[in-house]
Amino acid sequence: MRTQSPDTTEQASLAQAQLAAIVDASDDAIISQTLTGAIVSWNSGAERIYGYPSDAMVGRSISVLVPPGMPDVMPEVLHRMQQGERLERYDTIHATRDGVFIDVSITVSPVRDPSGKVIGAATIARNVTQRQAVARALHETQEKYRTIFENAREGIFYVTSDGQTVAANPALVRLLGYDSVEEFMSDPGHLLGSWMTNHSHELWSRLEGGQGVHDFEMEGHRRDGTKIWVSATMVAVQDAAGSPVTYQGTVLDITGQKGSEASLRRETDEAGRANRAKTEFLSRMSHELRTPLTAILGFGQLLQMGRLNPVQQTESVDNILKAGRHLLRLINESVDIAGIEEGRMAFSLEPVRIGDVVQDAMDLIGPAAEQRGIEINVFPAHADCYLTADRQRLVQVFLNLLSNAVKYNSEHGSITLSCGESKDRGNLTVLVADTGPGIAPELRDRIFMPFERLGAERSGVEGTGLGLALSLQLVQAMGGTIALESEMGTGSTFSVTLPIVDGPVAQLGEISGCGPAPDDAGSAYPPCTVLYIEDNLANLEVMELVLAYRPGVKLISAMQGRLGFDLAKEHQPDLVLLDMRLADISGRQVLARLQSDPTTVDIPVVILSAEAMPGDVDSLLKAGARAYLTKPFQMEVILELMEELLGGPS
Amino acid sequence: MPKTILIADDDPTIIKLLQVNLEMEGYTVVCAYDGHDAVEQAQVEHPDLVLLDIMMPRMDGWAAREALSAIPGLKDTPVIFLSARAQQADLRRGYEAGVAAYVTKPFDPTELLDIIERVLDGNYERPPLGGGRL
Repeated sequence: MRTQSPDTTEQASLAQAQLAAIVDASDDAIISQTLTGAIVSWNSGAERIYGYPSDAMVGRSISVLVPPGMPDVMPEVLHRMQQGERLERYDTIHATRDGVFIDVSITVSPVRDPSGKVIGAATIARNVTQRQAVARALHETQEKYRTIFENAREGIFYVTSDGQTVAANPALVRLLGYDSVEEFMSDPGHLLGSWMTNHSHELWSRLEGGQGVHDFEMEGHRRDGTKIWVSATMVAVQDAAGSPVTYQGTVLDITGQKGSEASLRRETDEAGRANRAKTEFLSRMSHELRTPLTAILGFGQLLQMGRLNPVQQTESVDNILKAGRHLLRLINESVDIAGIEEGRMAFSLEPVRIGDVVQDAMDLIGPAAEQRGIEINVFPAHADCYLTADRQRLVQVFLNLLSNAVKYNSEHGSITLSCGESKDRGNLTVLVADTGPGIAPELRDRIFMPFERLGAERSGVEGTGLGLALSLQLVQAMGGTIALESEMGTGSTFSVTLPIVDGPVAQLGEISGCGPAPDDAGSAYPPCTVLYIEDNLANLEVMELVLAYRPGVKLISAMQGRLGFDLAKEHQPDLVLLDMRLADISGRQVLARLQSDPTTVDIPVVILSAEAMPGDVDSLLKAGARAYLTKPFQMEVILELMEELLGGPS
Repeated sequence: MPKTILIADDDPTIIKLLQVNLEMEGYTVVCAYDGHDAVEQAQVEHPDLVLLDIMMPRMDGWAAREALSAIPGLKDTPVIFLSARAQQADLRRGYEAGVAAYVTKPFDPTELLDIIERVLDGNYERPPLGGGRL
């Protein structure tokens, strides 16, 4: 047993008083309790925190503080105290006298008697409600921002000034083509940094100037190399402690928007160009119409004045006629060009033998060439090739090219017409080469433009300035190309390239798959006469082949509409097969003549055409045609039709 | 003494038409077939009036008018534009370039002769610019 001196007793009571004062002055609740939980002491801190006065609490169980419905851990805690353990800063919730729940951090220590035996526990409880509330709010806020960060459609990033990524959200990662944030962060070459470097100048100067960057549009690449346009908004961030500057920002994928902007701009540009071209065309047209009109009206008025001598009178009339013809050509060609541009011009595309087309054009240009003393050499190789084209229109193209080659050739020059298979196989190129002065390289682009005569207007050579523009459009509308090569002082070569196709005879074989015509099939059929009005020789050949299956038919043919009508009157055929596109009058006109003439009105007419416009079919059938067949021919269909119209085997 | 008129047009038919009309009125006519030719001829012939087409090869009417006005002896020679370019913008440009008159094709020969006579007499007044026409 220890003995205490009075001195120590005094010291002890002093210490006890000090301790009591400390306990009393503490903001924390300091509560002592027995091992069964009965409260022994309750300081003023406890009174303040819990609202219970000391005398109300002493002797009651500490468990009173546990809110109803919450597990009471105190028995367990006190049990541990018995073992000599301590409980440090245990966060829990207590209820005050008013029923308010407060967050408390409690520390519970065992209380020993002088012999060291645990006889109770001292609980220090600190009201941390406010602190907890702040923490909770912070946590909630962070959670909210994290949700925004994770779910935003915009890419959000946080990078250092040297391009190191501190944070990136899933949207950014997806936008740049990565599968996960980890993958993105571990790729040292990812694109955010490189954008920042590439666009450094503009970006940095704005960021370092302290301004944020708003909707800064940058182009870059995704991970897989595809292009991406983004709009970035960025701010520079530096904390008060002066840590290195970092940049935070958002990135929006505007690739689609850029694409539609670009296509909209393209469309607007195109519309503007087309509009300007139209205005330019009209303005040129106005100019071109006024020039011949000046001659017509001017010389007309001179004649009207009656002061001209006979020679001047003749000259005036010549000038008027010349200008009038020029005007007519101008109008026809302009209408053609406008028709192609608006898709109004009908093209009858079918296999045409290039040799026939060239021959037609040669026949038409012959007199003019002869008059100028220009020799035309034709190389017949590939003449048997078939091209997909509208025969009349292709003749028009070659006539234009040959006419230019005659007009702009040198004195006693020559023209060479030849064909060659193009490098890109499947196409045939027809070349029209002259020995004229050639066309300067800088003028070559302009030559296919309407009204562009490259100075030929002063040469006295007649021309509308529309021939090549029209030829170009015609060839393009038939799926071909036209080109110019020229050497100054040597001559110019225009080339027309069109796809090669099987001839109609070959096509007939493919389509019908028939064997050769039987030798003796004929005798059973009644003899009859068929008139075929068609300007395409190849089609005539095919018809001959078809008719081999039906012997006893006498086939007569006409390549022109008027001749066809005359032959029909003269021969009274049993059937007329009529093509729609003829050189002189149209098939429709031939049909009208046949129908209005009493000697031919009863002859059945079958239309054979490469164009199959539903409206046409109806109107032709109404006009008296018995049937309408489209090219390429189908042998069975023709034979069946003949059987119907001419009778079967007897 | 008959007055000399220089006409420049790349279309020989128009040259012919103008020539017949002007000669019937007693003018001496000098012909040029482009702007360049017109400027050269003007320096030799010192015409009293120049009738210029606009769309001509080598040197167009605008450039020819410019060149003429830079030549001391010719800068006061009246110039009439005679053009198939009949848009108001063209007329305005002509007026701004200081041409005495702008006549559009097709033209009425009697009217043209009247304009020429009045320009030579110094009592022609250009009509105000009106509504647009192609």
